[in-house]
Amino acid sequence: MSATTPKSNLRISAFQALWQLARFKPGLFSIDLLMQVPRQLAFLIPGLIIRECFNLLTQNARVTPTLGWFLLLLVASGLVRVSVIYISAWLDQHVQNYIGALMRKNLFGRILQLPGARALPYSPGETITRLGGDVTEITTFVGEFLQLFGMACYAAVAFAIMASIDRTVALWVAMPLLIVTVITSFGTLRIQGYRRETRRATGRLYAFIAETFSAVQAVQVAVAEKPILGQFNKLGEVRRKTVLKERLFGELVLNSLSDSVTNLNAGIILFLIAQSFRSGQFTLGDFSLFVSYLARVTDFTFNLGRTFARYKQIDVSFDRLFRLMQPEAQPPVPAAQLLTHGPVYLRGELPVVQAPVRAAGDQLQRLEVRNLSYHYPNSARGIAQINLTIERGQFVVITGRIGAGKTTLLRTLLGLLPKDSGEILWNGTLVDAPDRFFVPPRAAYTSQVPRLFSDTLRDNIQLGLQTDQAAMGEAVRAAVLERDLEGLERRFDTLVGPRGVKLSGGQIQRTAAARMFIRRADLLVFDSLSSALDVDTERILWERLDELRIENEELRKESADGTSNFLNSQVSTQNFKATCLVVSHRKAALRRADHIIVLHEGRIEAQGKLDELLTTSEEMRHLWRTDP
Amino acid sequence: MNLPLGSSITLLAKYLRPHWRKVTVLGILLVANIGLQLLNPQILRRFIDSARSTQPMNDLIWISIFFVLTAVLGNIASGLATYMGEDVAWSATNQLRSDLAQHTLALDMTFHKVHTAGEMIERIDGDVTALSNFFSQFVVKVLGTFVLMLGVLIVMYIEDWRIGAAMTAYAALVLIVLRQTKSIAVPHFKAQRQANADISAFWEERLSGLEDIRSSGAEAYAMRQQFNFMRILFRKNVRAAMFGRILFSSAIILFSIGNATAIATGGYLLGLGALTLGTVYLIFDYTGTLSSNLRVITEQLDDLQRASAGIERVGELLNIQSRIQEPHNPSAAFTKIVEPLPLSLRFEHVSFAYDDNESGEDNAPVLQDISFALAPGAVMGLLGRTGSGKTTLTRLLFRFYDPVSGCVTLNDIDVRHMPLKDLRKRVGLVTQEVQLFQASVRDNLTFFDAGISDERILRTLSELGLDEWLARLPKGLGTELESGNGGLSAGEAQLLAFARVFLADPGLVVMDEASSRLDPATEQKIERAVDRLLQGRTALIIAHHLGTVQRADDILILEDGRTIEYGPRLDLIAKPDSRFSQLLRTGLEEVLV
Repeated sequence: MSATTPKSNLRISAFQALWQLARFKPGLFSIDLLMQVPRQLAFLIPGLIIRECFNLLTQNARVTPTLGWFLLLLVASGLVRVSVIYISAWLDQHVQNYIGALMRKNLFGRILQLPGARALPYSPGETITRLGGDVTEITTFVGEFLQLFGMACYAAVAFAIMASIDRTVALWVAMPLLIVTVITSFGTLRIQGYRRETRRATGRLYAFIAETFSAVQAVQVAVAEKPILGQFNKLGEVRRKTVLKERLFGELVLNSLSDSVTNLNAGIILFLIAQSFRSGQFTLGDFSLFVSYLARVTDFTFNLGRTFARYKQIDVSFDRLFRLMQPEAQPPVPAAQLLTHGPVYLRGELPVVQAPVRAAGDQLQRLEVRNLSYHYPNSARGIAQINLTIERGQFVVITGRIGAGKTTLLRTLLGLLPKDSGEILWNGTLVDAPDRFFVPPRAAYTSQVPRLFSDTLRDNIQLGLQTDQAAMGEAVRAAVLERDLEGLERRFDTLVGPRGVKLSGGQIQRTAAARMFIRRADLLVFDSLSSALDVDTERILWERLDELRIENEELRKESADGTSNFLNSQVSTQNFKATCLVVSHRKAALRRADHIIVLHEGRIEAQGKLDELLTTSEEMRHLWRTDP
Repeated sequence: MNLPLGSSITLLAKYLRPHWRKVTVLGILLVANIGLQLLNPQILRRFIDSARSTQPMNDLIWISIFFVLTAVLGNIASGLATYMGEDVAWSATNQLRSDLAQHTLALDMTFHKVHTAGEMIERIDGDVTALSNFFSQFVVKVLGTFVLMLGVLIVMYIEDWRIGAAMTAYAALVLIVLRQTKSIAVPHFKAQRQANADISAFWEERLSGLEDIRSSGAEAYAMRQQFNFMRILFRKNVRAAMFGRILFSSAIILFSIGNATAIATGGYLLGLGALTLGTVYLIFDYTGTLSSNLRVITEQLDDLQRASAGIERVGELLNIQSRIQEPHNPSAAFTKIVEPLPLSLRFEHVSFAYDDNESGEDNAPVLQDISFALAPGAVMGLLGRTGSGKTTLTRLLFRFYDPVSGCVTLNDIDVRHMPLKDLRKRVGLVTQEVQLFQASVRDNLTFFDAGISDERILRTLSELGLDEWLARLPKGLGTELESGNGGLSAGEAQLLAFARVFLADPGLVVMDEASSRLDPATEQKIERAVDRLLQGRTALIIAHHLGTVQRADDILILEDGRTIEYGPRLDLIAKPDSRFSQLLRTGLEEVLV
């Protein structure tokens, strides 16, 4: 009967979380909270004015100048209410956006901290519903809660005013309101349950439509239109029923209840005041005041009930966000880091992206990998016991059949997958966090299926790095992309990526190569280019890369001081020669290799020079035969 | 407002007619609700005026009870009407959805090639749901609200024409101002939605490209970009919140003016002795009703506009005609093919080109002058590279398309002269992949046809060697499969496709053999399945493996839509320089896949 589950260790309660958020911008939050009071209390004014108007009419039975002034005041009070609402709404937006931005910053930052190939426990689509939907759910709740506070003040003052007019009546009308609060909070939970059912039914219908039209040919061949339609109608009927159930509850039970309670209360007042009304103790003005105040107080009780129920939902949303933080993943963080305060830059200058700085030990002399292993969860696939050494300036090729573990090896080495065991040594020093270590200026990587973002070509290559035009030109030439660049109307300013100009697979891969070259990393890592590049282009790319490596070497020798920005083409650090680690099965790459590693079923089958391997390794011979 | 009112009402009438009983009840509820809402303030007036006179106290008590009764009854009627409106709307629009699904299912491949499954969800359900609101809201809210407002104004005119005139002027003012202010916020709401869509797209792209960001050391850059998107969203949110409140704010001010007008006019007439104090309150009360309903109407008018776009799109979809037309007077001889006997198949000088509506230009021919004949029970192997026209050729057989010239015959009857249903019932198709429904194994095999007995399904599965697979499923035939490929291996998928065809029992089978390599055990099962399938059936097999080719009586090799070799298999083997012999030497798999 232990109350502590692993889950409870990872997270804090929704209440604590909301408190953390409230304290993010304490000044702003307090002003917003305070502003809710006049915002709601302003709604008391028209009731008071109208009361006076009716009392005046009761006394004088005609329009008097005083009544005229009161009527003008009534219209003016509308303007006052509007201006208070505007100030308050403006503050609300600030509070909500600041806390939303804070959570999004912490979530996205955490995702960017985890091993790149394993950072998401869910699909990108599901992750977005959390980043977008759940965060909005929480910020909306905060807005509603603030408003509820203001309405509570309204309700309190309204009751005080009503009690000062007639205590008995005020007490009587309070009773149904309490009942309403309870019913609404239960009812809202029920409705949420029904809504989930509706969503499920709609989801099934959608899935069925999608499946049917994906398989429309099979359906037509099988002459199955009629039974398919029958199934479609069945699912439609299920959905109709769940929707109606949801509506029945929402519309009939809750909404009618709200209106009925207002009317019931009006009736109770009539019933109670019949006597005092005649005697003139309870005036027509008092009656109008009671009716108008009670309508709004009823709204308040409804909101109160609803907010109680919504709090449960918020708990779920927080839970979903805490899970997205993946507190248990390496490196572990407390789940509450979701709420860690920090700048969110909604105003002022955006943060400056620092260019990578090359430190003394960054220059690669030798890279050693010892007993490196990684296995995919719930699968036997992976790599095991990988040992290899790469010397400065070498061109090393990893080769093997499909599924041999080539990409897994690269990803594990670079920390994009968390290694199960093994050591990686850079110049003899142990690398403890490969994912943070193997980045420019030490290493850069082109994946097998690189992604471009919907930005200009320049932004896609630079990714925030400030470089001059010459460096861009050089990187583009080395990536054999200059011809393609000519073909683009706006050259570097062309919008590419999913929402821009569609580039071919080869163009995307070469853009990614340019992205890598411009970073001037010591270790260049290429995953299989051959899936998207033809034989000739791949060969030219290796040749250009050689030129670039030698050119850089010479430039660097000439350069007297290596302290200036190493990213610009004319200045360079000394003794730079890029070391390359390449996955390929193309002869152009294999012939060029200083060292070849043959992988087979996740293990190193053989390694050495091409001629040796062709005589000693059957696997190498097989690969050599089958590839162009 | 561009509301295609005529077509909307026609559509409304057509789909509401079957539900006339519910519609009648709905109408009664609406009228009752309106009546009660008009009556309620009258009772209040009675109370006020009676209290000021010398009527007995008991009357006042009864009036207050009556007041609560009418009010609460009105609320219940209103709630019930909304519910009934939804009920009628969903029943009616489900029928419309069903009609749309039926219509689009019957359309030919020219339509389905350009409309994705995702788009069909939008067109069959999305557009209709917008319409559903139209059905329910139009009747209940717009019509009901309109009649109620009219009623309020009429009652006011009856009380005193000056009151009526003042309130009519007020109503007109509110309508004009609210309609105007409503549109002010629209671009800001759009901008807000766009900012939300932009940041979602940003997330989608970055979350899919995390490896690129991490290995380029571009985390700080990605964070900076997110800050920028959040900042834009913040600004749009603030603007939307500010401009979005214009409508609400105008309403506050307008309603204050309305209340002031009611009291002023009422007070003036009270002074003239034309009204009682109770009537002044009545006018004040009615003004409140008028005000809140004016707001409802302003909101509804926009929904109506949205629905009108849906109506247009639904109409468009219903007007698309299939290019494949049923024969006007089907061949009398077609009945012969209904018998369970193998069919003969003939292609006579068939040429075909895809005709895309969009491009308008003449498309390159996919098939050119294809002729061959297949005797009942014979097997033909169809060979050719990807894109040589093999799949297209088989599609003509099912009349997914009609040839541009030449004809396809079954038992010497042109397929265009057969009822589509009979044609497709007699020709089966085994595809490489099997598209599954998120439904039971049973429904997946029978396409939801409850007429096929479990016993027959089980027999078929066991004949295909799928009984082991079935035994592994937790609920047997009732097990729900996932959509997509349902976690099946390539071999199992093809075997399920076989099972579908066996259950249909056709006289001619078209089979697209799985191109991927299968494990030996599955391969054997498939071999056996093919043996069974070919018994007493004519077959056209798109072959990828040598084993299959060896079953064929005839071989036809396609290249770029032309026959480059056709003849009996043994004859082709006998000629060492035939393309077929060359293929056998170099290995089928290397060349064709």
